[in-house]
Amino acid sequence: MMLHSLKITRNTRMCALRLPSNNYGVITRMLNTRSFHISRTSSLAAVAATEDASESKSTTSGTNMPPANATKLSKEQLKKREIRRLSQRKQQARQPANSHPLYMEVVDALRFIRAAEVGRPEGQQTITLTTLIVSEKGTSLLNGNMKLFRPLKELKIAVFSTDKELLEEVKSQFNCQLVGGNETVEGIKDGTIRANFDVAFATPEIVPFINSQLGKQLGRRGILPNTKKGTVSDDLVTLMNAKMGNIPFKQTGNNISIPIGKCYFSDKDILLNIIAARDAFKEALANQKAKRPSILSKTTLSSTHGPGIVIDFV
Amino acid sequence: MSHVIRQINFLNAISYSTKKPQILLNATKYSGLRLTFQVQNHNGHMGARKFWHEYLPTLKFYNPNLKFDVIRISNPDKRKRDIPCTLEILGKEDQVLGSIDMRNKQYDEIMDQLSESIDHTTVPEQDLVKVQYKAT
Repeated sequence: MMLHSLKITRNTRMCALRLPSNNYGVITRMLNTRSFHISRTSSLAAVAATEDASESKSTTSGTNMPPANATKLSKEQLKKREIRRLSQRKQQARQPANSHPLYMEVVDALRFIRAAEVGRPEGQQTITLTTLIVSEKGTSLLNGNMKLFRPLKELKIAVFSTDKELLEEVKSQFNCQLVGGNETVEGIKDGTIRANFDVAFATPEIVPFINSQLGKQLGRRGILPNTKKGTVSDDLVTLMNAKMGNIPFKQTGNNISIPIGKCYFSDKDILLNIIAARDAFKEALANQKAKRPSILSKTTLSSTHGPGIVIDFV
Repeated sequence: MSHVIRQINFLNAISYSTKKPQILLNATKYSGLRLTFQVQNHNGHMGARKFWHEYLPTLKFYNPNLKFDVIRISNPDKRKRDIPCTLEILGKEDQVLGSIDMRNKQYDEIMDQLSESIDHTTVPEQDLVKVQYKAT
């Protein structure tokens, strides 16, 4: 019986096959359907090795696939693989952004993103910035707050206090939807004043009254002023300056993804938002308590329906 | 196909390989286009939807300062046939300068009709943006 030697490569694992000539076509078709890459070897050495291997095992015409447990790696191998992958990721992070095939200037990237989002509702046209983080195992997740140059949503603010001077000061400094004292609280309870605000701040002396009158109404919406949430203070101006426009961000998995703008924002607004995000990320890296701090890697600008484009961020 | 090549093809479909809408509308005359059609395909609205998907991104890419409004009306009832399917050409003061009925038309036909009824110039070959694949 004439023998053919075949080399089958799959996931870098190799095994030798010994097939009778009359079954060759059938088995080749079968292997092709499994999308194996088959190459005939003609060297005598390979034939000899095949025959040696076949003598020690059965001489059936089926495939001699390695056992399923052969894929399991030892702990040491796993550790080595992890170290190798980490060093690869670090190397990628050190490469300049313009070496990536999908790299573009931010302005060009925005032109493509806006084109891809044409005709979509404004609510769906969010531009997202995603930065890969390379960190070693056990390093704390990167988090912090950032203040965007142009926030995505203008918050409607309500301020409650019995101090009229303070209310005037707050009104002059911030764009407040609603400002008032006890009578405003009663008005909201009666329904004469609409409570269509997104966040509420208050001074401590009025909080018990708000809780008793509007506890149910505002509590359900999660906008009741509360010391624990940090929306109650004597010095409202400082508190509001610190709180307003601050967006928290946190590393999830090996990346940070934050909404950076809308398609209808100008290029300048989006660029300034990106710069604000970069400063916040760098500050978070500086504050990270780890022996080896994380590294910022590839940064992508994408949108809800649009492409992901690599930009120069760091 | 790798994800990078797929992405480059997607970008080139917007900026390079879709030839018909590679036109520059006269920005001194027009402020944009307004498309009104149904969310669903029935009653001849499929061509309008396809026009939005296939050609509007390229029109937007080469005319970034014009506004392209898309109004989609949901109408699950096939018997209700009075949903408009129109493309309106808007002037500088948002007045309607011309209108094209897109009902029962293929997107190519709509594009041809738009090209005939609007003042435009074709984007020169050297100004076309092509995303090239560069191996790292």
